[in-house]
Amino acid sequence: MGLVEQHADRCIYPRPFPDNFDACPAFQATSFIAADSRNKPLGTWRTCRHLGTGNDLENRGRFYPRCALGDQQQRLQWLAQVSPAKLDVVRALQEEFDQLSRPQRERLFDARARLHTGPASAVREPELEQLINAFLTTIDRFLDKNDERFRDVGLPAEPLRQLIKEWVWAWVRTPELATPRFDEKPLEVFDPPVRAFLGAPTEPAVSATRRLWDRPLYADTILQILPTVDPPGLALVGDVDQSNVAAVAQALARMRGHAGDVHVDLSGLLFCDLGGLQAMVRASQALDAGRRLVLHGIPRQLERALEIVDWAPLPNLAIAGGVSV
Amino acid sequence: MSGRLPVERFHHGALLYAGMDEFLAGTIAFIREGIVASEPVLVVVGAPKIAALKARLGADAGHVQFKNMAEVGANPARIIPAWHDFVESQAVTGRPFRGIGEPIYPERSAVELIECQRHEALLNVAFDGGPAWRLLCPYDTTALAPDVVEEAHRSHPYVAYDHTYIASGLYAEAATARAPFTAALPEPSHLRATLVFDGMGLRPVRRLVSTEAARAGYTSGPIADLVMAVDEVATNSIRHGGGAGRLRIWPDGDVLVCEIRDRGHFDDPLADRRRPAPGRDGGRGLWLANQLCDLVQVRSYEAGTTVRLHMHRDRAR
Repeated sequence: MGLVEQHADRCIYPRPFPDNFDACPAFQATSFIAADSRNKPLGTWRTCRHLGTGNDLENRGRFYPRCALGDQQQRLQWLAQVSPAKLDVVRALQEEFDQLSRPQRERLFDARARLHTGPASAVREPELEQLINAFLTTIDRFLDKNDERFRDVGLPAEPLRQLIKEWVWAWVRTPELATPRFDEKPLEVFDPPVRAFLGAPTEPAVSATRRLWDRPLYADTILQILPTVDPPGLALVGDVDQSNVAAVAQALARMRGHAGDVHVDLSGLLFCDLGGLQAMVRASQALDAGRRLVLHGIPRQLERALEIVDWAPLPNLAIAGGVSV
Repeated sequence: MSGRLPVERFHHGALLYAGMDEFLAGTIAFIREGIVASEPVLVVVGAPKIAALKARLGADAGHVQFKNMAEVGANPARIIPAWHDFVESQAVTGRPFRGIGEPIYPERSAVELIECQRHEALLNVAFDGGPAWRLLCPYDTTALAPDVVEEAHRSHPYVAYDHTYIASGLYAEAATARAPFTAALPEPSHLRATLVFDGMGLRPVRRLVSTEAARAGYTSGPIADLVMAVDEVATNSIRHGGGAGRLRIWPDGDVLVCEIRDRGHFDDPLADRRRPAPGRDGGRGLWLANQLCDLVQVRSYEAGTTVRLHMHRDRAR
């Protein structure tokens, strides 16, 4: 590339996001009511929960579109950590809620605009309170109805209910165009990676091993195979399926030449089919007695698949504790 | 009763009974014959029947192994592997053994019933020619439709009436079950999504299944299971089914159905019921799908193969 990218966490995708946008695997659509300078609604826009603004340090006073999840590698690592299925559950809940609450959000937006734009058209507090309460009732019902799905993604209904209530009031009371200040404290009940579902800052996701990103052993559009140091081995980042399982088997076979255990970092896997699992099992079987293939950060789904196929005994295969939630 | 003597080969019999008393009379006699002959016995029936059998057997119940059919056979394609494990564990001893399995009961849905009947026929393919053992399959004639009872005569070489086994005149040889299964599948009334795929990559297939299952209200566990099952079946289409296929997704009541069609032919009727070995390729897709999904319908027509994967929304796990 000719240009040096100063901001690794810049959102590299075109905005506004098109209707069927799916280029970014971590994209989390939320609908957003845009307003003019007098805070009048201009219509509903789709944006990404993780999209914010970063300060451009080189050019004072300028901003760039910033992804709260970090750079491309951190985005993928976060997604592997929460799992693509959970992100899809969150996306579906957001879609359903946006559709369900749209009329109420528009009325609220309008009332808030009138509250902040002058005495003549100002809304009275009781009217606003009524609108907010109706909105919160809708949220309550939605949370109750989807209790199991919210728990599944690590957002239990009770703390979420309290949090949303505070957010709605903070948003209404914040003057036009300013960004409301939210209290970060209530978020601490949720696991760090899960906080990102709510658009809250989270620490960058960590991988099970240190990877050498700039020296991939193999890369296609869905998978990167990276060498790792500490411990030495390789990392699979992305999807392993029938299209690239041969490359995985080849990379694993090359590790046989090295001494000691072979470490495989699976904490960046978004998907792995049975063929991929089979490649790892065969690679372990090809090792001399006493050497092991050690799987780090194996996703829960893959560990279950290993139980289901029940290929035990596999004396040369070991599973190390991972970082997956 | 003729069930006392050791058998020379796999003996697959249907026990026709009317109500609980007849069920207990028929199965207790079969179990006690096994106990007297020191034969290991495995009984796979519903929980209420396990309780009734244990009460009636008293101390003898300790000689019998029980498994809940609702768990073992929620997906009927998992029953043959369970019997297979039992047969393998017993065959090494060289001693006779026996089992009771009731896969067909009135609570089965219409689609499950067809797969259960297929399962009954495939038992003959799976165990004919293997170790000699007795398997008794109870059928409740008061609760099941007459055509279901008639079908039992086709899938079982022996039928027990009144404590006596009679060779079934309707029995179709195991070879019949070895032929492609072509029972008709009803067309869905409204599709949620359709996608044609080929060897270029299955990520779009996985994304579509995951998104649609999430929209249908599923939680991440069943979503990931369904994604993995569809991916494996679609991989079969690419590897053995002409290199391409078509995915369709639709809801059917509380079930989400994912269908994969390709131009391949399915010539191993037990491929979906055999645990894959790490050294062997192929066939494992359907086996895994059966472990992950609530029901899998496999049909092999002239034009190609159709596989439908069913996932219940409210399944407990």
